[in-house]
Amino acid sequence: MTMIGQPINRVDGPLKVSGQATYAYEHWDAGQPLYGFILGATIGRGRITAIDTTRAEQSPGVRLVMTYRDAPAQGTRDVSIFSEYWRAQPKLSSPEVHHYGEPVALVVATTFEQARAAAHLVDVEYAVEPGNYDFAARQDQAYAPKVVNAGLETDTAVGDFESGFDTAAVKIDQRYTTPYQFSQPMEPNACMAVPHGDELTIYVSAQIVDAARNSVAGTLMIDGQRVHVVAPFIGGGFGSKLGIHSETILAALAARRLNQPVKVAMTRQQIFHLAGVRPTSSQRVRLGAGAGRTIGRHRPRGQHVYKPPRGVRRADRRHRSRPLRRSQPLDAPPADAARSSAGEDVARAGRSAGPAGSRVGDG
Amino acid sequence: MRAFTYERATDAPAAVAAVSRPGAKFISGGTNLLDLMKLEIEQPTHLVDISRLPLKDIEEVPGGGLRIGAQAANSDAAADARVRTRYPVLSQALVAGASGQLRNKASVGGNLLQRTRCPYFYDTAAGCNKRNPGAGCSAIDGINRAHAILGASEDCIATHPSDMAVAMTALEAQIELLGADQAARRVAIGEFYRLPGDTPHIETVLRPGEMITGVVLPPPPPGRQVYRKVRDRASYAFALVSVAAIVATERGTITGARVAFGGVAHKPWRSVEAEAALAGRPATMATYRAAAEAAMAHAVGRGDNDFKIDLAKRTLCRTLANAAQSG
Repeated sequence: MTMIGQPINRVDGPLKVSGQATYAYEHWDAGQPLYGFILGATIGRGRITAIDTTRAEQSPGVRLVMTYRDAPAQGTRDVSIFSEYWRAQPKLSSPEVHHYGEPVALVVATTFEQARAAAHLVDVEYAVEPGNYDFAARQDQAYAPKVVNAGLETDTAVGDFESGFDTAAVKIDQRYTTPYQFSQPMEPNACMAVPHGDELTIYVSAQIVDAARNSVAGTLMIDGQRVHVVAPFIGGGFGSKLGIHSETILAALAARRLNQPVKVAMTRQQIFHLAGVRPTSSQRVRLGAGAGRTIGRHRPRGQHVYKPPRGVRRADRRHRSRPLRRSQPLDAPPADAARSSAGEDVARAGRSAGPAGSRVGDG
Repeated sequence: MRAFTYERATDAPAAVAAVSRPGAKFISGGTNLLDLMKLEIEQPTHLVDISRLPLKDIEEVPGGGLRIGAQAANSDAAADARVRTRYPVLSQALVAGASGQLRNKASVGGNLLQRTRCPYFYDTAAGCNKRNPGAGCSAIDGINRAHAILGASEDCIATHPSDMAVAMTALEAQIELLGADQAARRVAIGEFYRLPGDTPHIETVLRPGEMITGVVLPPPPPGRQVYRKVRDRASYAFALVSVAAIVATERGTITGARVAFGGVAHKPWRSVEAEAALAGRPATMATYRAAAEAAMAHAVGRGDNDFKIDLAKRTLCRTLANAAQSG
């Protein structure tokens, strides 16, 4: 209580603003690391038909060019695990391309510049397939997922909405849309993976260390007790650091292959494709009210979690509602959380509950 | 980034001699070139550093003009008392560009030669006739919100990113050049930049190995000078549309006007059509609107950037009103 209204510094604030906070990419405990650079797909959907790493491998300083052809076998995404953030997320596991920017190679070199230069020398050929990119044009493809965000029911109902709405004296029937929204933290999503025999330490920019550990262990198919997560500071996350992403899995795979510390940071551009996106949405809201002052009926129809505002629920015991949620498959980066530090409850992002995570844009 | 060799030129004649070797380029502040080299969009094999040449002075020229050395920092040019007093449109434009750190590092000559910020030019996976002649233009049917509405071609709709050059265009600056043959010449800024046509990779009339040594500003024309920049963020963003305007009025009548736009074309865009529509007319919003219509008569949107046509008109009206009423 004594803290309310007081100007209190964040515990890590002074360290961050004075440059003393050590971020994932900046740890030197394990000595000089190697640098990994992610090469992303330049098509939206299709398949790698040829990938030639010869020129990249011959480029100065290069230690490893990993593609789907030589990446180790990895655990598969297990949808029986409640939260996406704890699930395995295999990378470089097939020639299929599910969205623009999806990793098709990791280049590891002595310096960042060498890794990036060599990445430009990986020759990739694709068979492009027609993709689904236009949310607004393809809403006829919307389907009812089995569950929605946080395991909530897809469709719920209180009372008979339709008859109530039909007879309402005052009606509102509007469609509201939201654009794609991206997390762009100051600190890019980054990881340094340090192997110690059978164990692995990951210095990672992740907010849920237990999730990071389980996701890495599940992907690498090793005991979670052998994965150690170090995440003392987060340079902003906005949803993108609830789970780990390609940077961590690829750093871990490369570090174990080379038996040396490897670090990978996303570029600013890669964060748009690889760190999750809050999907675009379309919500039809129908409200019906009696001639008095109360709103009695709701029928939102959209992809995001919806609950009638508490005030409405309490105010009118006769209220009837029937929220329906639908997802729509798009060949877009995976749906994930993207949020500000405020307004979480009104800006709750839906996470795909559909199959083949990277295929489902969750609307 | 490709390997390259480096040398520091000791004087201007030595610099143009040094850059004559194949694959060589000048580097000054490096605020644009180094970014492009890291992405391997520019791939010089040899750099001739001209940043320490004695070309930093800002000095009076006979007849009332001002000469700005090519190696003067953007921040120094913006802060110069003579620039601020006599060429405020230039000082305003300089300060509207980039960030404090970049302006400290960027030179006036380098600013004139900065490359477009078209995202497809930067994305080596995309087609770009400017980066790779003949590869096609991904911007024309792509996300082209920031792109040109005037003077573009079917091969390129990129814009020139400079604010400074827009003000210099309104001021009718002369660009001083030193050639590979050690011959000096001057080119009016209005003649310096090229439209893209079918050779968008050739951006200026600079000859191979030619170096910018300075910019000469003629005596300022009569009238009030204003630079106005409209962009997505209040700071550190390129112009969607900018306007440099110089308006002279006498008893409510416009006696002379200069108008140049930024963010709308492959080069700073002088609008003689707008100027003609202003000269001798009353300094009223109706006149400004007519000038705006004249300026944008041949503007072409490509979809995402359609809004720029109206934005340019409104920005011009507002800037003219500001310049005329205050002057």
